[in-house]
Amino acid sequence: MVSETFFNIYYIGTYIWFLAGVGIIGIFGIKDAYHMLSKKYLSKEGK
Amino acid sequence: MGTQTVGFLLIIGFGFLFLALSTFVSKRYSTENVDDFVAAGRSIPFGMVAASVMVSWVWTVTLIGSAETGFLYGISGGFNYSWGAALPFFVFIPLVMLLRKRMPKCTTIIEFVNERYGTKLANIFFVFAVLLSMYILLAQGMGVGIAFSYIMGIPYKFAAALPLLIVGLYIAKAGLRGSIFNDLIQFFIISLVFVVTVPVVLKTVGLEAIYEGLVDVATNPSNVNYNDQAMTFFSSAGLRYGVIAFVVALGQVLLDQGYYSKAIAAASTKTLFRAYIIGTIVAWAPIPIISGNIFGTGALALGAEVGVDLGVTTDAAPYIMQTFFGAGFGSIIYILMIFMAGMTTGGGVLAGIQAIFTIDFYKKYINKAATEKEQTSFGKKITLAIALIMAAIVMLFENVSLIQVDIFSGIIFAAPCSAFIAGLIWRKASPGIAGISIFVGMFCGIAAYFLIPDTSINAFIGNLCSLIIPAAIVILGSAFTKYEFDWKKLEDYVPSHEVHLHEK
Repeated sequence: MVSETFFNIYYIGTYIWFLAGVGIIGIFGIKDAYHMLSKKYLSKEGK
Repeated sequence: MGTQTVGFLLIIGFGFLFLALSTFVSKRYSTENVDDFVAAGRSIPFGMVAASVMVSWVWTVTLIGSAETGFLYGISGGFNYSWGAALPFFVFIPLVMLLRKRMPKCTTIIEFVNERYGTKLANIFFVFAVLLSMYILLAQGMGVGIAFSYIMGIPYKFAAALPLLIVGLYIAKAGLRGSIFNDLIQFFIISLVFVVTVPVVLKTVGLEAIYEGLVDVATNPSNVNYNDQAMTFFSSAGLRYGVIAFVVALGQVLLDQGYYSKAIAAASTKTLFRAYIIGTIVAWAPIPIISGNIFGTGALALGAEVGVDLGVTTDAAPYIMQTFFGAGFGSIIYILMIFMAGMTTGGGVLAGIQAIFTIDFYKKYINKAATEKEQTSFGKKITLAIALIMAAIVMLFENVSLIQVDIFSGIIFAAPCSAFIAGLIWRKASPGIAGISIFVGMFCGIAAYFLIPDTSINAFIGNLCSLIIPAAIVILGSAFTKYEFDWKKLEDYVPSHEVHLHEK
């Protein structure tokens, strides 16, 4: 049976892990979406 | 405003938002050229691919089903779901990088199988890919239907079918690029909801209360949910489920064209690698753990009883939200997340199947002289048709356990994995042996599932048979043949539609 300390670290730690992952994607996602809507990208890929 | 009205407004309101975004994307970027339509011009940057991959792998099953595993297996449930479903990407990522290298102008897995093994096996893989896509759409519709009917009181049939129609419309409109733009919006909504919901539930229930409730489940035989392994991190039942989750997920990843489309659409192989690692291992993997822990073990700790509080164990997550928030704000944002998960996964799958029908079906079987415009037009129509068919079918799956359906699907879709992997890494794998391995493996898996009377191990053995037997057949069978495939055939492959490679 797991201890209460392990239990707390496991539950809270996973949440922090999740925050780190979505933080990275969030920052680059906004940057890249902005890039994809830029004139430079559209001149190559747009209609 | 009634809860049903709020539910209807959510589905219809967001439906319009996604359709508007796909209309915007389709006006801004070309969708008449096949490569633009199904592979987004092979120029999508890291952040967009990573967000898209992550949300595509967040199924409604990831949220509702992992909560169910937490309820069934205790503290090990979410963890085993997570490693089992994340591990296939360690297989997929090197494979798809190798595919880009070996067959630079390939877009679909069917093109690869056709060149590597010939038309007969390509047709078999085509059927598997279509069936898998239909199954995934079914699972998404079921998940959304369960959540909306349980929490908002919307009839299951309506809540399950409408999202599939909406996603069909927006994928048909703007192709893969439209899907990826919508995925980014949905990524932010899913992440934000999770970021907010989890601490709120934890604060309301209390970590200590969950711990004590679980200790009671694990130690008190009179507890309605008594499970002596509920607090064992490496419980044998949980580990068995993890292995099943791996087999199930392997087929779902390797045969889903949606993941290949996104990998092919990545601007470079380096972008592909980074985006898939961050999207799956870093950002996706903690989600089922959190869901299993917070919602699954939460319901377990609170003494939720199947048949009294829960219709089926799948209701664990909606039960927590209903118990603590009623149909209030917390519940609304939770089902919003389920809705987004269903839309993104459904969108990715439909974009994949659209690619297969556009490239591998129309020109081959219907109109050999088709222009690229005619091909994409057909791809749009077939996408809508599949969405419509699945919207009708999902209505028949009310009150069915998501996890049970998911586990059985592993037996079907794991069988072709070995033939596919061997075809890409081993020149001695022959078409005949590959074909035999698929059917023998699937037959053994299904036989084990139905003939083993012990229901606690039949799914486990069935899934293992479906994965391991084909692998053994391919390895042993091919080792003793003189057959040797020439990789140059893949390198020299030129598709019938125009492809512009950005990477040398």
